[in-house]
Amino acid sequence: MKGFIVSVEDNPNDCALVKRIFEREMPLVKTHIIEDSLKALDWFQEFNDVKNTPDLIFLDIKMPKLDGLSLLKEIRKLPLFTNSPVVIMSSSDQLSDRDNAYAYVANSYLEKPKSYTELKERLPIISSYWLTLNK
Amino acid sequence: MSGPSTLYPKKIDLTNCDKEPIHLLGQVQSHAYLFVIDALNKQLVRASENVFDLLSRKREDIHTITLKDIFGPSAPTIASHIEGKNTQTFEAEVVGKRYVVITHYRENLIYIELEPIVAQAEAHIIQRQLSDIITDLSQAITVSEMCDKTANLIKSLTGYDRVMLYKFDQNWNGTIISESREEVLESWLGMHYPATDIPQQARKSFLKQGVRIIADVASQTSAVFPELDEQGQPLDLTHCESRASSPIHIEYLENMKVGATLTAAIVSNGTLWGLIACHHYSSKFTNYYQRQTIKFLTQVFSTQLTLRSSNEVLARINATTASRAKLVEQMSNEWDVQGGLTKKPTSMLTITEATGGAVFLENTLSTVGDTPSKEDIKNLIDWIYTTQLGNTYTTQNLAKVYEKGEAFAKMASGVLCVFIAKGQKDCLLWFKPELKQVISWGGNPEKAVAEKNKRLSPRKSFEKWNQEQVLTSLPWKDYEIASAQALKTSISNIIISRYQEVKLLNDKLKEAYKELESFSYSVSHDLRSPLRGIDGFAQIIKEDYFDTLDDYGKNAIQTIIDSTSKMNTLIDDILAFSGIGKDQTAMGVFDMQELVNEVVQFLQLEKKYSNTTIEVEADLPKAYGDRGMIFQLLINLIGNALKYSHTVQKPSVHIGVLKDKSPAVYYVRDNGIGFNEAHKEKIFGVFNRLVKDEFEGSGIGLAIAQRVIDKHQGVIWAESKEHQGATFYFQLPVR
Repeated sequence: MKGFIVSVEDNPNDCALVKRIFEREMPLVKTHIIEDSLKALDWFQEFNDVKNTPDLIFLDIKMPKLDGLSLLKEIRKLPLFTNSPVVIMSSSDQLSDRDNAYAYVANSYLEKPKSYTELKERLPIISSYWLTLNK
Repeated sequence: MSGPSTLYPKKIDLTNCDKEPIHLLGQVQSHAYLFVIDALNKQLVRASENVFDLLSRKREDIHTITLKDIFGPSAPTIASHIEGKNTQTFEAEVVGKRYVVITHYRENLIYIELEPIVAQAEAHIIQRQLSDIITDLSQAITVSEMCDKTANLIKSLTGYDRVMLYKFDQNWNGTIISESREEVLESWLGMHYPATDIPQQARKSFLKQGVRIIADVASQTSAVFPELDEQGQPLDLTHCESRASSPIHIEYLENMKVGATLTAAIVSNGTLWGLIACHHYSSKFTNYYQRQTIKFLTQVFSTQLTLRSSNEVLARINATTASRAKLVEQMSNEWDVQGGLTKKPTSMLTITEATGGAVFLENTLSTVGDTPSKEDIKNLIDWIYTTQLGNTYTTQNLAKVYEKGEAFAKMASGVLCVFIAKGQKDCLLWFKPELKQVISWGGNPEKAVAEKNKRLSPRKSFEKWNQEQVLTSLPWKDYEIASAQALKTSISNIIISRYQEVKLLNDKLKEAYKELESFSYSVSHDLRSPLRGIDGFAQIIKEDYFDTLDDYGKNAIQTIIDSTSKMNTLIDDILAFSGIGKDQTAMGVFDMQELVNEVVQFLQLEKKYSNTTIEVEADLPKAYGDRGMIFQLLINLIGNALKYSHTVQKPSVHIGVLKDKSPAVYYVRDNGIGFNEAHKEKIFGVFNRLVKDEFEGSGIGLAIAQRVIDKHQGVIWAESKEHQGATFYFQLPVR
């Protein structure tokens, strides 16, 4: 499966794990992982490669400088990303987080699995779903 | 004859004296002369019989006698002197002899009394006497010292054979508390006299007229002429100095062989506190000036007495203040009113002279010292609460008013009870023991009645008569009552401030608890991420480098992975535990049967506990509660049952209900390792694991169960024996 996935994740450990899972489980997918939410905002705002827009965006919800939902709000303002599939990831099981995510026009919500093993199972499943849907 | 005897009541009993109309007896003592003049026409309307002898006139001519016939040339001066004045005292000459003249008005009549002048009182002597009185009495420190000084002073001022200070108790029985007498006389100090000795109307007249004398008990009195006026009324002699005493009283004195008396009232705070009673064994006339001196003395005495008793009360209260402060400190330090009053060396007993004490507060009773049984005290409190008015009750002979009190009269004849708040039985009690004491009566008070001419005749025997007083304690003193009440005030203050403090503390605790919950919630979540890192990288090593590791390295990697898994379980439990702390519950009726089946399914029996047989009783009754929370509860109870039974031979778990109970008691029973009954309270605490590590678990499971039950205001308990399985019961209140 081909595609372009952008992931914004401030925790370096999680970044490394996510990166590895994509590389190992979905070797044909191109990934761009941004470790800082402010830098991520810049990246989205400066992005102008109309033909190669990301097929799926993962946003962590709890980030210190700019939280995932605020970032999402800014991204949705950009014409290029108005309709891009966005998955909000959270380590909280609070229903309010999930409801907020949909309120901010996220396409999906993923409670971060507790273990690497589970993460390795779920990340590819949800990615394939959106990548397939997008084609 | 329609003499005074017709006025006497016919029925004879101890209260008979009370009915004797002592102010209407129509007799004047022989040393004095009485004239009664019509204030309007200045005619003599009545006089004592001896007046006619004095003036050498006939009774029939009474209306022709004028002031001039009495006072001679000074009559006009005297007339204008007494005109319209309430009382007047002066000296004047009547038929060649000087007299003290005492006049007073009463209902349009002018009463004029003549008293002989025995010896001219020198002004400077009287002055000195008065100043002696003031100095002596004000120098006395205690009341009893003051009484002694008074008795001695009066003895020296008047020369009566015996001067007694007589104090009334609350029942008007009297006791001689001080005495000054001729040496040859036996002492009457400490003698008690029954209330009937000084009847009520005599006590009343003492309040009106401070000092009275009987100059000669044996002498014939002089009758008022005419006895009855045109309306048929006897003359009212209430305010006459020379009014004769009642025949009963005279007989009483004759029986005592007394020849003359002087009596002065001691009034304190408007009531008759006592009397100064002087006896002389022959006739003795104390003139007007001396009587005024005595009157002055009693006034000084009364003032000093009032001052002294309030000072004494104050002094005693001050003395108990230190103890009270200590008690307050004890009570507030440990937030323990009962303990503070009864369990320390400085107990509630130290502020009174009581020998037993009790505190009844919030339905618990604590005692100190000698007290009746708790049961008896509670009944007594009920009795006082329902029958007595006001917040303070005292008695020194409980058994006389409270029948059940006789059983414990020995340690509690005296009771002082102070209620702490209106409308509640919370109270403080002090007890005083029965004090059997011998009272020496001046003659047997119960044998005072003797029939003689169908009217009361006072007793003839004044032999000391001893009576044992039973079921009575020492009296409660003013200072004891005052300090008991002060203590009560301190206690209500403590209770109020304690209530406020507890409320504040409670609010703070609630706040802290909430914070702790949200703290543990977010901490637990924050732990997830690093844990995922540990797990993730260990997995990476396992995936990519496992073959390059030796056995020790392989083992180490697996240990890291296993440990992170355990850690995740712990975080799950902590999150569940703190999640239950949240306020919002979704209460409703739910199907317990369905819920139990869901839980059993969730626990994946066939996967983990394939050997275990699980039985769920059919027809579990519906329950009312938060279904999600009860799910948590069941997960933990059934999960535990599975966990702790799977090591036995044929593990089985039974879920059922005790149907005869209401509300229904659900239970989860296993045949596993069980636990020691001694720990059955402990197991519901957080991290209180009784088992060794062979069983996985965070130690939070039963704490969660307890928490869920608490949220529902239900009950949970366990029964077990080691190695014989365990049963956990829980009960949810009905809506």
